[in-house]
Amino acid sequence: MMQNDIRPLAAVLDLLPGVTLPPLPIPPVTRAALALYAGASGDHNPMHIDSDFARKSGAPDVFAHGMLVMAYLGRLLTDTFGADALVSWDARFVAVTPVGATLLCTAVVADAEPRDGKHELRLALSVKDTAGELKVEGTARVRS
Amino acid sequence: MKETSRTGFEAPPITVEIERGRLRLFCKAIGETGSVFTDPEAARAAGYRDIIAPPTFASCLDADRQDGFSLVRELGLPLAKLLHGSQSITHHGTLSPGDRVVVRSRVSDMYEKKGGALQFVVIQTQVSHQDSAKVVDLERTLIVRQ
Repeated sequence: MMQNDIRPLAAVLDLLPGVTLPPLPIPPVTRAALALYAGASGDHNPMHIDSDFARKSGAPDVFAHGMLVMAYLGRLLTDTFGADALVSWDARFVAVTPVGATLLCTAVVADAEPRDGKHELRLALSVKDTAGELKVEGTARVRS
Repeated sequence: MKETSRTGFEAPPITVEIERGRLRLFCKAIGETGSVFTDPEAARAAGYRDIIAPPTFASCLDADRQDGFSLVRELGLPLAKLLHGSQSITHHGTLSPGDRVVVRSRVSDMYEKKGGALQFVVIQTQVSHQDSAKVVDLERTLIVRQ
């Protein structure tokens, strides 16, 4: 699968503050995706995979694992900077992502500077749905 | 439940082997098709011993443990009222199939907000190689809506 191979590091680490990376669109979150993620991650919380349980608990339906949405953000970062350029990153789960939501992952360069002899970028991360509602916000540090 | 006295509680450490099949399923689940995550030859060409785990994979290592221990259950957190508030991840190295890593999780903080309507539980997890070289540090904050 060559279509998703890593782009050259040098080109992207020259990015300047204010530049928005090409955003990563995520197809609508399906029940199958949540079931797969539950199995793969070991997080079997029924709020994510059992609609009956979710409704009984007062939620309108199942919703995505926060870590699935963070994994989508991770794809944006590793697609852009390479598999191990990520130093540290964080996410705040602002609102739940219900089944059926279509997400867009975005990263904006907040700061670029040399650090410990390497080039480091700080990024502001966000995930929104198609209505523009913020689901996740965060930050990341990546290094050459 | 409004337990706040478990700050400092440590889950029994576990050793986990990174399995190729689980990495394949994890990549499928998150839609990851990048070659260093899915193709051993491409990963070796990129300088890795084998495929590597995507950067959120380490967060799964203390879920569904073989010893059956669950911090969420141990702390009595109700699944129906539990939300993942925030997560931070610091990377020191990568994980590949066959790696055996030690996973240590501890409750680093518990506190309440809004007069007890929201309970926060902060859990720190360290993943290290058996020679104690650090691989990844994670911190998750869980929120219980009372």
